[in-house]
Amino acid sequence: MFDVEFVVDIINKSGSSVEVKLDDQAKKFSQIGLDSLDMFNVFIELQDATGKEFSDDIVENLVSISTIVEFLNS
Amino acid sequence: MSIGLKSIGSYIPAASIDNIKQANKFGETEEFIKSKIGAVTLARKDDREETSDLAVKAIKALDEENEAFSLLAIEALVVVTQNPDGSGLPHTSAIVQNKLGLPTNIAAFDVSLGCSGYVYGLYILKGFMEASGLKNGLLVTVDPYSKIVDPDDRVTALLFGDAATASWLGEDSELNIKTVKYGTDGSGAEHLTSFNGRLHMNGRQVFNFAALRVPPQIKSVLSNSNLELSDIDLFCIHQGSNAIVDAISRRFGDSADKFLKDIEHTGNTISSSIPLLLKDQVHDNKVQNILISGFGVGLSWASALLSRSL
Repeated sequence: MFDVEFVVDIINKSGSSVEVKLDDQAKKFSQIGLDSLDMFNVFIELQDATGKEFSDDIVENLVSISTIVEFLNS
Repeated sequence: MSIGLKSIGSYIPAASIDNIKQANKFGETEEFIKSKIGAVTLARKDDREETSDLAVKAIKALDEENEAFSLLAIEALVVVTQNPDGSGLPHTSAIVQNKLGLPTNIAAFDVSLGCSGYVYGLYILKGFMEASGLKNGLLVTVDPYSKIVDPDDRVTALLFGDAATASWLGEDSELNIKTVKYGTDGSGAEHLTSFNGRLHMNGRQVFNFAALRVPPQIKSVLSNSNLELSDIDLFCIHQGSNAIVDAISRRFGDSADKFLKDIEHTGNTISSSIPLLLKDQVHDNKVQNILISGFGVGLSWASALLSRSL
């Protein structure tokens, strides 16, 4: 099972422009300050760490840490 | 006879687009442009300038900056472009030959490649010259994307600039052209393509391709050259954007700060971005080993080692 801490850790290791905290889990990435290019890096790191494929259709709906956790555990 | 890189000339149009203003139009911030894209202005050719005109200006700059260079001694001319004069028939290199009054016993041909084109072009011309016994060749990069960028497309309008470069190849060179690795994956062609005269790009897919494919290829060049990361003085990789250079360089630990970044006043100039970076390094004797890598349209990628001639 993947949890919020796992995803937060990945985001903060991806070279993103802002540091993400556990209580940011429900916020949209744009609210936290992560831009589209930050998210490119995040999905590459997540793919590396989990082996899961992140297609364009799936990524469109992954707008927060919570939605990513939900997808990883689906 | 070994053919290497002797010198590089360049032409960057004086006119430009204010990328901060463009960012506002697309709802992006100045910070995003400066830190992630890296280009505050995008160089733009005049509408009346053709691709061959940019090439001619880069070659003239090379001529002016190198006393030993002579246009009349050029025996081979290769133009790397996917946005040639007119519809591409005849080849732009033939038009450049005529505009410059180069000898008619010259070999001239175009190479259709995008951002990997400079690396490929070095080996194409080096191999061609060595096989043919030629001593002076020109490798021109010129791919004015302003011909195909839709100014209302947020994905591409903030990225690309126009420029041209001319690399002089010959004997008694400054840099030897050494180990190289190539890559092609046409299954990703749709992610960066042109149809109906307009450029279309899936930014995330192109970013993924570059971030995942390029680092292992660079490491392969190093291992095949029996070199360590610490042996490389500079990494001059394609300047797709600051973000992609950062994404690739992060995978090289302490050597990340040896990756050059310089697209502030040009933008992504396709096959010209590597020679624009290299231009100032060719004659710098403090720089011994340079790793170059180009990646983009195709999808195509190539990485190589250039080493100072002793």
